[in-house]
Amino acid sequence: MFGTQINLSVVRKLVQLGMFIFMVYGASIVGFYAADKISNALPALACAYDAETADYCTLIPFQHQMGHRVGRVIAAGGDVLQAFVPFFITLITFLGMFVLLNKAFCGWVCPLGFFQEVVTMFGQKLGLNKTESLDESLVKRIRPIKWIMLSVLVFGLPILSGIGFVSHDLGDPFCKICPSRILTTLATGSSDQLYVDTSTPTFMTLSIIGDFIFGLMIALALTIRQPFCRICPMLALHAVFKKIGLVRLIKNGKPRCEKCGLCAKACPMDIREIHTDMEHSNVLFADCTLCGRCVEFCPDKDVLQMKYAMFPIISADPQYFKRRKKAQTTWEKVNLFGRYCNQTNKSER
Amino acid sequence: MKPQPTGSQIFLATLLCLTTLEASAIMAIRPAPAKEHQHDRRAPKIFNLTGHENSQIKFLTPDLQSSDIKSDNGQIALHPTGKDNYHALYASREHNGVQESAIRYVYFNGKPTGRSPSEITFLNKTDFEIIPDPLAREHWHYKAGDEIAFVIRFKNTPLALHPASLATSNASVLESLTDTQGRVVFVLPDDFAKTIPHARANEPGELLIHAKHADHGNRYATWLSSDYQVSPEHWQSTELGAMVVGGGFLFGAFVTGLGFKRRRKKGEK
Repeated sequence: MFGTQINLSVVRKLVQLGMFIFMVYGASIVGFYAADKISNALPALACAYDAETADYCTLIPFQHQMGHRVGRVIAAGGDVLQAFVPFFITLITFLGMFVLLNKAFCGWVCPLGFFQEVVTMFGQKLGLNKTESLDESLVKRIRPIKWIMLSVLVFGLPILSGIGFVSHDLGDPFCKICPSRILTTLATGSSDQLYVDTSTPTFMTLSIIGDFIFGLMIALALTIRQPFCRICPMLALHAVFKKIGLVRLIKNGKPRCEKCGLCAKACPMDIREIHTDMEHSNVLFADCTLCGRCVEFCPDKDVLQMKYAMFPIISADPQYFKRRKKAQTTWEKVNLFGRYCNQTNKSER
Repeated sequence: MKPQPTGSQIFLATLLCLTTLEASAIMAIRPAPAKEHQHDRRAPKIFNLTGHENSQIKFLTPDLQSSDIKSDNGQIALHPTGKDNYHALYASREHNGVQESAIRYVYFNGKPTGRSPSEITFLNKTDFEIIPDPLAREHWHYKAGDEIAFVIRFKNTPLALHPASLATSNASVLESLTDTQGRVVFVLPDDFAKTIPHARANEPGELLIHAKHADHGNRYATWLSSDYQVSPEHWQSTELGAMVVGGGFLFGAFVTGLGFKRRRKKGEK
């Protein structure tokens, strides 16, 4: 499918770069106002706080609808239909887009996901030792956090704030700690969202957590792949609807798979089940971002396939695998302190 | 103790100073003093039109449906239209040989119309007009310290190098010229005498942009009014934010550093 120099990862990086530019600076194309935005329910973290964004992440309307509509109707009564109609409109809009690309919104569109990948590349070029895979036990402990983020920060606290159980300051708690808010506004040259807010204890706590997570994410991303993606509530929201998406990841397991495991090593989200699961053909797991690296690094013909509906986008292929592995080795050899790193690697051996 | 002037007295005094036309020629749409019922979203929004005599008042919805509005001795009640987004309330009259107009953009919540606010701002409403470029985005507000831009337009043509002024209810006055595209930029002064550290706790101020023009012996004057809010910089510190980001970064570097040590130890064993 691809030429000798171009591979899926290169194509994906180019798409991600284009989407980053469009999502972060695209207001000059789509228009400035909220009414101009593409969907107001994008299945990726393009931030509404960015004055130049082309579209809004769906998590912001969800939080507002929980707080301003659903929570208030629960507390004071009123028209249930009116409380839920905006939520359903947002959900249907989200699903309308989500069905087209499925979880690939994470791996191909999300500005924050791309930023983390760039930071990891930067770390590698600085000669920092990359953590190839996190410990399995650590991965298992991290996985539930995204569900907690979704249920507590996106739905739970906003509803409770609408009911009046908690402060109104907790109306959009996920946005207050989301690193994409800080990243995308800084990318447009504005430091408006980089702050510690001393107006109330709640705002102060949230702003400190948000800033801390942003700094932590950058440091972790230098050596660990996709640190924030692993706890992102959008990943959890995608997981709920992953079966309706048109992009799918298919496995036709063979006995050789048990001894191989290259797909799991290639996975930036450390999904070892891609390797170990021999029962299911659908291997689109909850943490998958549909980046396609597992397919690229599978050495056996057609064992892993990424498909759009029934049409294959890319299938595992021994020849492609060899080229891809060679390209990866060449890429990783190039860094700013090449000689030093080679010597270090030799001495470590 | 000498009584202090109120904000609206200062505002009107500033307006008088700003214009070289007669004092009575000022035309501005300002919100009526807030009452309890105005927190109700279904209640009408009340405005006062200064210079309402012989004026024609119009109201434009986001989907560009226009209607005539009558004032009660300068007081205008705008009922919610059920349409979401910015509406335009504007008035015009001929006064002492001057074509005067005043405009204010008013936000109502309701069902989305699918129309961009740029349609209502750039629609030709009066011959001489001040156009926000852009308006504060929905759910946003003009804030002290913000750069805000307007296009000064006469008969659909932007006026290059044209003077315009900005006055606030906190007694600030700024003057500037449009650029070659007819666009003038002001930095909203941080002029609130007293601020409370919470966005919702501070009453907004009022700002008024004014421009005048002469063409073939005809004189024109126009005013655009809006509210503006206290800058959150009074309770938000970017420096502290940057320090916390730095702290998070150092913590992350420390954690990943430890991770490498542990792996090495395991390897040694």
